[in-house]
Amino acid sequence: MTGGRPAVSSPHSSLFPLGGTGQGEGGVRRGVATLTPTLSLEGRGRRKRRRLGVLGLLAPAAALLGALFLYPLANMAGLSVRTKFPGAWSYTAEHYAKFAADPYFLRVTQTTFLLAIGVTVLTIVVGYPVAYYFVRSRSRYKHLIFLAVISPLLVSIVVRTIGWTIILGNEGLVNALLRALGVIREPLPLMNNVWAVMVGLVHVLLPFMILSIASVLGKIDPALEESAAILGANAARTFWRVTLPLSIQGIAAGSILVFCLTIGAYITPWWLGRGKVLLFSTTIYDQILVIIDWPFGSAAAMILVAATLAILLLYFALIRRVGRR
Amino acid sequence: MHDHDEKEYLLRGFGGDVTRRAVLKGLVAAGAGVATLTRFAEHLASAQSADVAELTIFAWPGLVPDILKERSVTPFNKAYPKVNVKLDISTNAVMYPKMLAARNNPVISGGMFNDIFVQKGIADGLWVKPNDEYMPNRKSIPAELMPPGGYGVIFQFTPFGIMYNPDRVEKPKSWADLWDPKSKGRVVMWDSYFDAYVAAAVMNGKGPSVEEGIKLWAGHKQNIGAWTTSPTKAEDDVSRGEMWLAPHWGSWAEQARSSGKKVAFTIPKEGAVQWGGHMVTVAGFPAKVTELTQRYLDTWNSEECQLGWVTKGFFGPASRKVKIPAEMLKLEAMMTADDAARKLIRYDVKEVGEKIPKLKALIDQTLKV
Amino acid sequence: MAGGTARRRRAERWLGWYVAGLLFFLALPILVVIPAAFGPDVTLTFPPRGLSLKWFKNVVDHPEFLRAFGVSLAVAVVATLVALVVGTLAAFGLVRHRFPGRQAMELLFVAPLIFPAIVYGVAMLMVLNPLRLTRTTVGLVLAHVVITLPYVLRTVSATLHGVNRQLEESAQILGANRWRTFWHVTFPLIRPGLIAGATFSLIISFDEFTVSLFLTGPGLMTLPLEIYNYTEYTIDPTIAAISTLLIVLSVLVILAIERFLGFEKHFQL
Repeated sequence: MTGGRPAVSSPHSSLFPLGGTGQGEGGVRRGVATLTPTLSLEGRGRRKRRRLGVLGLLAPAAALLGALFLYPLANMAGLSVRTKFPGAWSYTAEHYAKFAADPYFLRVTQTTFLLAIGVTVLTIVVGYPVAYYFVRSRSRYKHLIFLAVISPLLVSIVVRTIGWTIILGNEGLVNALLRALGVIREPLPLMNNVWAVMVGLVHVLLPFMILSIASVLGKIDPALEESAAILGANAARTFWRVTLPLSIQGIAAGSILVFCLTIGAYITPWWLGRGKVLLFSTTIYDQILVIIDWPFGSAAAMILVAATLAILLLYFALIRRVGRR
Repeated sequence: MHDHDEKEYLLRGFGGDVTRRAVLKGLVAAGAGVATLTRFAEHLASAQSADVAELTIFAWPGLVPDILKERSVTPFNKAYPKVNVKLDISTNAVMYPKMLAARNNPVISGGMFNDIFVQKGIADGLWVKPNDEYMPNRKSIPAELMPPGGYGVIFQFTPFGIMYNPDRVEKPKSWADLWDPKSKGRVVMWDSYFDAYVAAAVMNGKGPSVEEGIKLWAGHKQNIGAWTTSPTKAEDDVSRGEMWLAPHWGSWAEQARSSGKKVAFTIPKEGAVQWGGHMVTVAGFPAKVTELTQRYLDTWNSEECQLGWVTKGFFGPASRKVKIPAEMLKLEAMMTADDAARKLIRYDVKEVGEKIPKLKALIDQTLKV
Repeated sequence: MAGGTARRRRAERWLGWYVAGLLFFLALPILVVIPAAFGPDVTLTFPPRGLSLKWFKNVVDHPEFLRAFGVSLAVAVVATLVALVVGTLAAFGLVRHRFPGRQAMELLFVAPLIFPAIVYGVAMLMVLNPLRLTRTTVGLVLAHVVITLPYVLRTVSATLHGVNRQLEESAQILGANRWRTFWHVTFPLIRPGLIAGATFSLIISFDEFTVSLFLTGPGLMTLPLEIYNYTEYTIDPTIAAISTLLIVLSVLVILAIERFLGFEKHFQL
């Protein structure tokens, strides 16, 4: 009954490990002879009750998100095709056209997505070892490691920003150190640019990546790695051929999260980039709160969501491809 | 904890000549929602004869609430003891969109806004005009200081000049000092307030034009080290030496200096631009509420309150009748209302208010790429 | 084999150093700001030039911070509880059943993650205002539930997916009804997912800024917004003092969890 399924689950499994094998069983498919009734055994009444049961399970979440997410979203979409708000209006696509025609906004889009990709890649590379250590280590201080991992989220954005200013600023610690060592004479511009934004975002999003990877790594049976070692593989091969593929789901889940959070982030880039880094979120904020052109701001928001969705779908397709291999 | 602040302006009774139907009609005309009507009807049913009301007034954060509580709300309550004045503290940029979204069920009946937002409100139809009968202090204000359009009433002003770090740079003598190559990357600029561009244009003989100022800055954009959306952030930058120069408001610079930050303020030789704080009354309320709101707002121009703005906030007083302490007059940021009327640079705030999207786009495209 | 083990141990040691370095990076902004809370200067500098507790006194002098802390905590706890219940139900619906439109449902439940918070904030304002739910705890909690639900759903689905259905079926064969099966078999198995989801949800809700910006006001302020509001007035080490207190509190909570519940057992990380 379970035969023929791919080793890595459906595209959406990166977010919802639904189909495919149970990774909780050490990634090895055990022949689970479930007693899931087949259609021929189920009575029609049972099937109907099951369907109602499903509805009941999903109803609260669906109702909540329908009313408090889809509806506001539709409201925004509606705003984006109005000529103006508030006041008398008519339907128009001028806001979308204005966005597409302006090289400035295209540049904003480019910077935003490049930044998101950069931050995602960095958090994967930097965070994976920490997740691995966190899961595999036999340290007695795991709870303190956890605390250190989530520490960026425990202080307010304001404090984090001032912290980075103290560290990266013209008068900051890094520059002071480099000047004292005689490496540089004029301070390096490390703040108010894309580097500060990158550092700031990686810093605040690493906890998400680390915990996403760690939760999947934690379910991988260490016996698998030991078997590989016994069979002659060295540490590198074990990691590359056994651990990494099994933790792909964690990396995928983490990277989707980090990518989307970077795209939507506005406080951190705003405070660390200080207006010198042109990002989508700042554009939307400007339009909605500073310029107060809500139709245009809504149009920009819709474009952002659409572009993000497109990239996510591409990513899902890629994961599916990789999984089939 | 009940939502006390959602009660807005519940009145529990009027004078005897206002009928229930007339009030309800008035509410419908003001665009109130069904919920408001039912709530209102309930309370009208249990009306008492006394004049009781609650006003929600928007005010800026920082020193303002304390000054208001001491010198405005308390004296007002002596004349109107049963009116509860509730202060809603926020900034222009955050409060305006909220008010716009809430226009059919307005909560705030009056508040303080700067020049630009007053004009925005006029364009968006949010305000009602001030009534001289309820705002007698208006007469002591020089006409030149008043915001165009006839809806706002100025109650404080301050010159927009240059804030600098005295340990890092010499006192700037001209607006052109912001373009000094030695200060490359050390100037903090605004993209949501345009006074600095006006000053640059005036300095170059092009008149108070924001566009011209932006174009002039294009050749010197490498001096801009950071953009800011909050005065305190600019003050912090300059104080810690990250930035050295910032076009800034005299009052805020002086407030920072007196709190211990390492900043100083000066007005360059070409002059300073006028910034005004204005009071506006919000549309969509029954006449009685509007009257009480305006009577309350008028206290901001009373001598007592004006002195509060001066001594505690380093603001210039809008009222001619106020005498500024001699010690304070020595500061470049302080001047009398008549001096301000004469010396400060003014620009067409109505036009600028309408063109904000274009101006912001111009700044983004010219100075940020 | 000896060479391999030695190499592995060396690799482990390098890994340990790397992790220590990275944890230092994560804690760095906090490490430089906290000392300023104990210094006399109004501008936050590192290292501080002297010793003074006046900023902590300032925190006490501003009762709005404690109130905002209470609000943030209450909202986080309530939103998390709601998200846990709603999310667990939905997880069961999505993991245990096949039906047309399931993938669309998955996407819907994950969607709040990709929607920019700033737009969601304005959108919620416009929707909640006519309902008179702005500046109310209910409105804020609802918005926070929407924001945290995807996280809870993800972690619970992940653990639920790994639950061996044979165990549940065995229990039922042995006579347990559906509720007892859930409570005694399934629930303990998905508990790590619930705890992980709850942790994410609590932290995210407590730290949430952008959406809360639009749904709060006088009478309802969260701590991040109260701190931000304060910096519109003055940027001084009072905020560093608040952060110090929060860090101390978090450390105490984590230590308490470790002592009384056992960290590894419940987080299974």
